[in-house]
Amino acid sequence: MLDIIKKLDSGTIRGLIVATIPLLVLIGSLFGVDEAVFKASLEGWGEKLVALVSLAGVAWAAYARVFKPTPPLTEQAAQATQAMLQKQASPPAGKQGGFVRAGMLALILALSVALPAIVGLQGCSVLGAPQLQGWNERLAGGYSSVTAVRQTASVLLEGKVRAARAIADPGAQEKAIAAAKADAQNLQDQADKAREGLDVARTLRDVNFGDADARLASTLRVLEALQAYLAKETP
Amino acid sequence: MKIDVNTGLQLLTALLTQANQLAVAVKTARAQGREDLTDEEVDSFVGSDDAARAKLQAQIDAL
Repeated sequence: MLDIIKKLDSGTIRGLIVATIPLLVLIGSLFGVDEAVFKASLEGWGEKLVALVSLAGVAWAAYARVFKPTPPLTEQAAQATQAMLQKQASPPAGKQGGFVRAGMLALILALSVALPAIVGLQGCSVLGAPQLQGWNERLAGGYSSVTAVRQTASVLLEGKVRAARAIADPGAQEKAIAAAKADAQNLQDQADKAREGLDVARTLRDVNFGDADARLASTLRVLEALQAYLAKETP
Repeated sequence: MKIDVNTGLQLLTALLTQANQLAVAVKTARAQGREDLTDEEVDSFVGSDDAARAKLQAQIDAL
């Protein structure tokens, strides 16, 4: 059974408590405490200090939650965690539970290109990214998206191999690693195809701009089609 | 598919880094009064993809 820690020993809880401090000012205003009183007392720098403390708290909470061990805080959480670990240690027979299958490959590709495709190819005022106008900008956006696919594949491969190596059964571990390797190679191959389309478009540009533009547009459409697949398949 | 938080954050970092590089390049062009990137600037993205391809393939081949 996993050890349960005190709640205030949790970095996540501590960080979140600190992060709520500035909220107390807003809550106080709801009960008649004039915000100007707070501002007058701290004369501006106090607001900045509070905001920085809040930011530090949130950052610490995120860091602690991601990189530090997260022992359960309740009996129920401990039992659920224990059950999850036991389930992960012995995946169902005949399945490489949690790893990618053909349909999910496309989903992952969509995930890996969706953000750069949205931000890079279409522009996103929310994130402050500029709209791509020139031909070279669209081309660079395509290259950027392809790179993002490869980087995504690299991160996912690392995570899946790490998870596979935690499997006790050597046979199951080997199968899981082989599946992860195959999935990553598939993503690499799809990225290579998209890259080839971009390279051809770039080569054609000085020879026949019309054909080059069509080739670029079709390659970018492939990437955007994956976004549509993502929107359709994501529950 | 299940991914852990660490993997998710690495993923997000990789995607945002790529998006940011493109945004910086385009904003630099705009600041210089240009409406498009130069071929040299596009080459930098090609180089980044070459490096990413090599890294991923090395990672795959090592397994």
